[in-house]
Amino acid sequence: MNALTTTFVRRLRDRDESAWFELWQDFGPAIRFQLQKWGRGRVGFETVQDLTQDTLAELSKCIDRYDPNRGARFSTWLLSIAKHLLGDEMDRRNAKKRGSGVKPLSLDERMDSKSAVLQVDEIFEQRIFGAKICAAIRRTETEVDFLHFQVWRMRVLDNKVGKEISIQLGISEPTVSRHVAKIRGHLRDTIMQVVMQYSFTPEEEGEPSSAGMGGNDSEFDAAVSEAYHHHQLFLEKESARN
Amino acid sequence: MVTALFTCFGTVVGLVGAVLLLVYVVIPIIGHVVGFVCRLIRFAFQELRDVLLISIALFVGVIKLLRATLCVVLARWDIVHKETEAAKRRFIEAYDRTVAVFVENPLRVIGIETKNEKHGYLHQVKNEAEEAVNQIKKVVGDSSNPEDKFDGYKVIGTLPSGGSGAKIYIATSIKNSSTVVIKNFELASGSQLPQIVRESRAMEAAKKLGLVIEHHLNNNRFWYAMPYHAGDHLGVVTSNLHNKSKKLTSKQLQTVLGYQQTLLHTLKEYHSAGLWHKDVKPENIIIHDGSAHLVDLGLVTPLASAMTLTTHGTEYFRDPELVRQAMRGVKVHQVDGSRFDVFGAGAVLYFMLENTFPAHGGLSDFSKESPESIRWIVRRAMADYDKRYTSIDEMLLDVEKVLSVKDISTIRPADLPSLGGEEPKVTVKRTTVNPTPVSPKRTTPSTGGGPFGTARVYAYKTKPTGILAVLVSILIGVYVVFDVNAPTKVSTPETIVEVQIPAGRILVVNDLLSSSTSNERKTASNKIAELGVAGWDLFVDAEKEASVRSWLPSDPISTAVSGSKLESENLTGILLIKNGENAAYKMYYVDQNGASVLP
Repeated sequence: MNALTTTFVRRLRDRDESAWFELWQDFGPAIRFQLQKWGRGRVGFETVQDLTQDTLAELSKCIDRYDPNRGARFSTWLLSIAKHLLGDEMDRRNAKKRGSGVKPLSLDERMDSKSAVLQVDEIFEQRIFGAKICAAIRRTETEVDFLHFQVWRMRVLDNKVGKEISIQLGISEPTVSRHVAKIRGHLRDTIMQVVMQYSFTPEEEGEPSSAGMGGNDSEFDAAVSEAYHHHQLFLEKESARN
Repeated sequence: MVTALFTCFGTVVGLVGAVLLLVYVVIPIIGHVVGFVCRLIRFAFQELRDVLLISIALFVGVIKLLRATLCVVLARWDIVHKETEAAKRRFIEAYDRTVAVFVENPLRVIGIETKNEKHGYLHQVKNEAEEAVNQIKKVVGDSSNPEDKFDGYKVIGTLPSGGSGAKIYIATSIKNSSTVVIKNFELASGSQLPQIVRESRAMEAAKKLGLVIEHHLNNNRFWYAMPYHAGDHLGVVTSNLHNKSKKLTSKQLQTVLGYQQTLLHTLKEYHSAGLWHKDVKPENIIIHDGSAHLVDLGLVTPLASAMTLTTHGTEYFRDPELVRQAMRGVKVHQVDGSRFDVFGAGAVLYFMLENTFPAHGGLSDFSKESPESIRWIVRRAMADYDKRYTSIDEMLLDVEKVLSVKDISTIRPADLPSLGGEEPKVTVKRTTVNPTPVSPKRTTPSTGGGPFGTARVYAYKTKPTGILAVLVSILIGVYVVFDVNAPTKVSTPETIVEVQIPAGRILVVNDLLSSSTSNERKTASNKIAELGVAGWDLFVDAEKEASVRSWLPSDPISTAVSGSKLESENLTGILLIKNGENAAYKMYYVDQNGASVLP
């Protein structure tokens, strides 16, 4: 794990509520979606909410036991905890039905059991990556000037031309370009930070480059915009389901 | 003559006798015969029915027994019990029906009712039904005759309950025939005591705005009456607006902004009265007479409350910053609650434009066509806590500016007052929402403004004062550089410096003497909370403090602490609170580079 990840992990270990909330805000929707998919209507929305919270709480507890030699990705780790908790919930319900005291498997037992080898699907990976990019955008928004960020947003996310932005906001076109460049530079750094923070493997750390964010400015803008819009669509779907 | 009279008398007697015979003999005999035939027919049907049902009951009973046996094998004990109970009921039914076939039904043919339902299956079924009704009553509360529940009011209808656990009734006042909404909390109906306490606090606050007509509290229940606004909530109205056309027309946009304007005026009145609503969302906005009426007082909170922030509210319309601060244990008065209402108002405007929730908070995308100026208002309202509109007033000015032009699409964000544009010349009319005079802002003294107190005004146009300030700074700089004879400044640890937010954990070590006044201790604790809100990673840990005190220099202000010691304790620095002059507290940030006094 890199230094940023360990700092974050340390905050989680220290039961830092804001670190937990960051996880909830960034990855909550993706986990909720996955749990609903697995639950296939057997678990209600309230249970899904509870299980998502438990997943993130469990992450902060069991992060101490993370073994880098297993080479599990951050997304896989999240997913395995979610699956464990869902399995646990189903076991508990079944045990209640039977009236017998069948003890659910522990997380480590479940992780080691052959039957539970996790196949993380590509869509989930995309959602986790989208969540990381959106977390970086949100962090950038917090750290920079409101006007500068809105100029970048109109240019990159809303795909407006510089001239239109300059007319709308009453500033010159070179000023628009300057603001966009400034935010782009900031966002590049923040994406690296966020991705490093939520990555356990070198493969995960290299995801932004694979998505085209390592290229020139226009490639970077296009890749960020694509990731943002994908994630936005997913969030809309997720909120509509609830 | 006599013969005729006898004949007449005989005829009358004969007729009367015939009638009496008909009434008392013939008709009863016919009745009995018909009754007997009917009973025979009924008997035939009953026999047929009972014989059929005996076989069905026996069949079901046997099946239930088999299921019970299977469940014994599968060790599902709870189901075994249910199945055997069901089988038992079926066998009792079969027995009762057999008795009916051979005894009761034949006796009924001759008019003898023998059935003793007390021991029969019918009685059991009746008991079960009664039990079920009682259970339902227990869960939903006994709603029998709600008219009698509220003195002076006649209940005429109900409204769907919200998340507060209360029952909501529409009622008319017996005194003046006005229609009101009554919110009723009853412990017997499942309302929780904390809910009642929270609601009564909110109600006390809302009374300031004249939103509560009357209220009553006793050991078992609490209810209050509010003005009733007939109409659909904003969710329904928005959906109807969008159903008419894919894109909102200029007139529809005017309507939407009109609703937003009245909502903002209402919120302004809340804030002026020192309150915040805390649950601004489409379901809590009723459209009536072309105005938006904000309802549901369940979470209304005084802005200056000394309570800890709670996370109550509705997802997508609640600022994530509120949750973050609540998780940090920040007090209500340490934040500006009105800004959370600004976020909610922005989210409501987004909802009206897009007909969907802002699923991505302030980063939510606009998929439907709308003027850039309105989008700007939404984004500004839903921006980060310290970047959004500093008050509802500021947002209202922007909305009114857009409303003041005939063609909304012509107005640019640059024309909005918050971006340096002119304020609207004509005040747009609105419906008065709360006629009651409001109390002065902040009715209880605030013990600290926190970092949120300072208002940041975003005016991006260059102003002459800025240029003047730059010129003055340059002159001072030149003076300082060329003033070689000036005595060298000696920096002392007492110099108040702006400390950058340290990146790491900081232990709070409190050395305030017990003789310090409670006010001083309170101010110090507020300051700690402010630092926490500003992003300092502060924590209090008695064990760690004891360990740190073992190596901390006796005077850490003048003697630097060891970096390795800090590292071994996994600390970036220490926040030291000591007594200064006149018993006033002083706060130092101490790390390996020395100590700095915090302003």
